[in-house]
Amino acid sequence: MHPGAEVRVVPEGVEVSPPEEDTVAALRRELAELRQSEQRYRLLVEQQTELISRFAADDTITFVNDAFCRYFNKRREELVGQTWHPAALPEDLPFIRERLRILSPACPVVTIEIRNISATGEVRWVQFVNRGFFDGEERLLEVQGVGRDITERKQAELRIRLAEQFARTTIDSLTAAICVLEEDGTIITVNEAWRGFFRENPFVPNDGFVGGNYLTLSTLGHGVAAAEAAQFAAGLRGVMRGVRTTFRMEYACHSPTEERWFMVIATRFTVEGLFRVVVTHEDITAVKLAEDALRRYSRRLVEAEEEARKKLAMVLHDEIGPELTDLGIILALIRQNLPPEELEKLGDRFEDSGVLIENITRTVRGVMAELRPPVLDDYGLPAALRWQAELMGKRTGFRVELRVDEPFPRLTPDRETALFRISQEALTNSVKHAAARHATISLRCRNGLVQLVITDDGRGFAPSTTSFPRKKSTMGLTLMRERAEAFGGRFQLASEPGEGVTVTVELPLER
Amino acid sequence: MRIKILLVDDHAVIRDGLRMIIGSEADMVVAGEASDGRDALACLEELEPDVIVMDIAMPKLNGIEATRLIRQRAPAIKVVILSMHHTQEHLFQALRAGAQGYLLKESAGNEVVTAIRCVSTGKSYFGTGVEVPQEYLLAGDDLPPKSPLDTLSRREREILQHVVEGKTSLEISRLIGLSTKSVETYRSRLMLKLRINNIPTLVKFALNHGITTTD
Repeated sequence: MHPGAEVRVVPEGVEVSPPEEDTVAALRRELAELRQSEQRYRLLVEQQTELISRFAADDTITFVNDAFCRYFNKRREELVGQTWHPAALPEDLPFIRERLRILSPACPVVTIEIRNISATGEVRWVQFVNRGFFDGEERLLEVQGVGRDITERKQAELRIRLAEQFARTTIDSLTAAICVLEEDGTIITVNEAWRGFFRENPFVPNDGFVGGNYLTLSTLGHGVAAAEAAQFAAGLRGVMRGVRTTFRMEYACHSPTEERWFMVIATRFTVEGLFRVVVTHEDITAVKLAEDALRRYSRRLVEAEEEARKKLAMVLHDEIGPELTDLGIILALIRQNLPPEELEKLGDRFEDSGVLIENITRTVRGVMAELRPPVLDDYGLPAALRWQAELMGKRTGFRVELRVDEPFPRLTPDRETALFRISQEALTNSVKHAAARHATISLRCRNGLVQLVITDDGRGFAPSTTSFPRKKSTMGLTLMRERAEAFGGRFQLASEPGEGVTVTVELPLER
Repeated sequence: MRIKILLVDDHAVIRDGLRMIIGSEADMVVAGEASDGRDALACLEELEPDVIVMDIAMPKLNGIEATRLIRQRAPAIKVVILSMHHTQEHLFQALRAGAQGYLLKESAGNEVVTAIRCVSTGKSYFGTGVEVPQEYLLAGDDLPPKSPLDTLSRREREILQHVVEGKTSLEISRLIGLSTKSVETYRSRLMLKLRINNIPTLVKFALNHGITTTD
């Protein structure tokens, strides 16, 4: 109505004047506005990228927009007036029907995701939001469906699910027990191995499950030494505070029936401000046992070698040595008792025999010294080191300076042997591998420890590269370390390229 | 007066052999034998030896310890040590304990008589193959006061001749019928005896003493 017009209620019989000019004009204006509105609306709908369709309660399609037609590759005339068939994969049809049946005034909106085959033959996903329109008696008049292609989203979801499943399966297949913590230490997820560990070890407090707090999980559980537990707690705190990204340590956690060793690694990561810590526990008992076995075998090897040397030296010393001496004496006797004319003839030959005996003795002595230096057994380590230095000087021109803190006590024979062998090996390496010309050996006894330090002036090496390049010298290093550690001692090798090599050995005097 | 000798060694063959060798010398007599250091100490007063020839390695009481005790009890007695080892360390220990002579066992048979005679006159004796310590070299104790050439045996003089003539060890070994090792042992021996440590000096020495080349 034209604004300003009044509504008059005219009683019956009263004369009513015909509509005025402006009323008609007003009506015309309103009609025009309505048409404009409708046009805008229509444009809006047509411009939608969303697919819009409407169908009546009898499944007749009453409207489709351009996008809808384009998407399903059909012309409007083909669709409107036809029975509505969801353009979906056959297996999805029952599901769609079922969902639509839910439409009611109480539940007027139903969202359905359907799959269809596109023109190019690929499977596309479309999500339709279907709204039902009802009359006063709650009868369904019409359904309007607004659809959107969600193929990319669906594919992304699939990829994420695949990735998650892959991750979960992988993590569950790992032998390491893994848990993930939030900032405050709450456990948000664990893997199968973790659950398994807690199932099999009921003596560990039960805070090990999702929702519990790892920090209160009385630090690594029973069987772990307090020092190690404290060390781990400190390390973990460091990771959680961001002081370090990773912390790892080995610890022992023995069950009532067996010895076990573990390695724990805590690592932090952040994604867009979200902070997580991954804690893994790996059972390294097998590796540790293998290491121990290896160490035992090395020790046995060293002992066996020493035993063999001792035996050989003993045979030479106790059996061959004396017999050579006897031979010499007998020869001298024979010579003494020869008549002069025989002596004249044979004198030189007797002397030759003497020289032969001398040669043999020298050889035997040399072998014996290689096996077990008599000076070591008779006079101890400093004397043996002096003897060795002298020998090396004569043979190779290699100069050894010996500094002994006198008075130096006699040690147990096996300790003296071990230290002597270590110095032997070290000096051999200096000459053979390091092209050194000079070495210093210092020997002292202090605070119940005997300390041997050997430094050479050779070309040195970078210790981190000793893993594989020279197999022979690494075997020697292993045996040297073995000899020291057999007594609960320490073996240290320090070197830099061009800086020579320093070997430091410390042995406790008592076990 | 014959030199009275006490033989101490745990090895019967050595005692017997030495006894026979020493027994052949007119100026020596074996007063007694013992098989270990303790026995040796026990028979000191009874036998009153002038020189004791003693093995360094014996059970119960080793040669070094026994030497120390003997020298304490009877400082006039001279001790000649017999040893398997030629290291300086072993030698020093023996000398520090009071021994006057040090013989390697393999040359015991040949040198025991010389050693006994030497130490009985108050001098030190170092057998073949033992490196004489510096202090003793200066004193010149171990060299008998004769012409150096006389200290060489016939064999050694023979070898010296060949060396002076410029023959190699290989050539000499073929001539004499010995191994090169033996030839070299002879050569070191004679050079040690003459206190010469290089060939040119050796040649000069030989020429000075009338050993000329034959070609």
